[in-house]
Amino acid sequence: MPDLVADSMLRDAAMVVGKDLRLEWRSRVTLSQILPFALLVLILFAFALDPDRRILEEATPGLFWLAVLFSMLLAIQRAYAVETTDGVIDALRLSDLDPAGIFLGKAAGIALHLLVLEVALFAGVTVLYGATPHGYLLLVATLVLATTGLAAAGSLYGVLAAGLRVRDTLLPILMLPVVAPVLIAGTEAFSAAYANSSGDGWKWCGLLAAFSVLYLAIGIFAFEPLLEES
Amino acid sequence: MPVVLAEASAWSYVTVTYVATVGLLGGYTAWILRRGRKVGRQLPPEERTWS
Amino acid sequence: MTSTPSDTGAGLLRLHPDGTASRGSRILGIVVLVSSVAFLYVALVASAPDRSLDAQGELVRIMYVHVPSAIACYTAFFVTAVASGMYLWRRTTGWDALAASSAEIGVVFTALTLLTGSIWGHTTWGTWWEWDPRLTSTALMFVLYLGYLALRRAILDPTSRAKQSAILGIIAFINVPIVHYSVDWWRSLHQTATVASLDPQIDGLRLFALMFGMVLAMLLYVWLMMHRFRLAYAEAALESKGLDQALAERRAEARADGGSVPPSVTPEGGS
Repeated sequence: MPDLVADSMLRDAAMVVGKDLRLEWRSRVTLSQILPFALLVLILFAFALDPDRRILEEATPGLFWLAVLFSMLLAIQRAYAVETTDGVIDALRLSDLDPAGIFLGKAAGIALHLLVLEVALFAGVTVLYGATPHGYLLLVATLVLATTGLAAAGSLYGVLAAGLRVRDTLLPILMLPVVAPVLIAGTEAFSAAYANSSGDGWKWCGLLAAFSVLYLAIGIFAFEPLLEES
Repeated sequence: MPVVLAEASAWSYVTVTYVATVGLLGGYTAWILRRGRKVGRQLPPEERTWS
Repeated sequence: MTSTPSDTGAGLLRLHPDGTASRGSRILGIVVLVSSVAFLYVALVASAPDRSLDAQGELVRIMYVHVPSAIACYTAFFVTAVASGMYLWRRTTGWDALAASSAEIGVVFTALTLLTGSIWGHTTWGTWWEWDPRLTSTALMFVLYLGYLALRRAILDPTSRAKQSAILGIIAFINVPIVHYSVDWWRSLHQTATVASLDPQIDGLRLFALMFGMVLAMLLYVWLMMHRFRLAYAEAALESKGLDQALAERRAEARADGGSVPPSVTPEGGS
């Protein structure tokens, strides 16, 4: 019965995300390591570009999303590193949890971590690059939709790379071409918001929404066989 | 406004293109044929199901 | 039809005993070779340069290589996706070998597409790269499939490798149109100067040269696939033989040590 299946999937997802959040709360890895990394990226951009001209302010949308993407790689690695130590992933496989639920739970966990990072990065670019935000509704919508897409794709590719010894070098080249559309769309939507001309921005949000739906769907189906092999 | 190149320099681009094409495809071909022979040497004839 | 080293044909059909050739592939190979010579003649000599108003002159000859190469690489990745799907359905080594071979050949043709596209671009833009939408998304696709090949190298167990690559092979191809669409849209917003399009107007013998190139590229793809597939299949057979041999050696050691040998459990090789 579809209702029961969906129920158990969401229930398992909630269990997984609860576990991941509790782990984060106790270990504070995202807060103490990934967050500083994200801010460091913003600082490095300033060294790479000329901080006295308006380059940083004009490039804020793109630089913001680049910083998000780089931090996302760490977040995904972390999300699966907690599973691959001590044979935890075998326990996960044997646990009778719905694999689609595990996928959604991992994705939700990654998404929540990303949102925290994005809030911090947003504060960072506002302060460090002097970009004055406008179009808050568009900004928030973009953040939510892009994060969903990144988390869904990340959860899927993360489990693919998780069981491999080369996962740290493989995950970036698998993920970054795939999320390039999110980078493009996020940047364009943010640019539109910052320029207060949100017309096109909403269309880019549409692309982000489609991307998210697609990867959530793919993940729900493809996660189980990948989990078996990791 | 299209860039109008002298005939000679146009041919140099064309030459580079075709040399690169033949080189890349030819090199790849040679590589897989050589690998094929190397593996074939290690495999007894009955396991080669194509000839 | 098994062949012994002695009866491998005569003359042009004499096949190397250790190689991946067969009579069929040799015939196709000869066709490809002869067609290539004919193509070079048509492309470089017989077809006239483009003298129309926004002429590219001799440079249109670059298109005769660039466009067929692009078609070949997209075909190759499509085949990889289909073969990946077939593997997930049938679970036979053959489909996995097909997917992997096609991906590798696709990467080669993608590199060629990028190279020739960049050369073409330099003739019109004066620079080697102008973020033309199609070349840019092709570059992303290149890295995407390099990732596919990297994944295959990273997994040692053949069945696990086949399964995971198959899933990636399908997802990667799904990504191709998404990337194309986004990059295209993105570039359409930011084009300030008129960037010369990669689609010159061609007709007559020039059109024939282009079509000929496309047919030749597909024939070459098929021929390369025949060899590459056999190579992959042979490597898989070798791999499982190696495993069988290692198991046999372990058992022999156990016997030699005087211990009792557990009942042999030979793994079923891929069919």
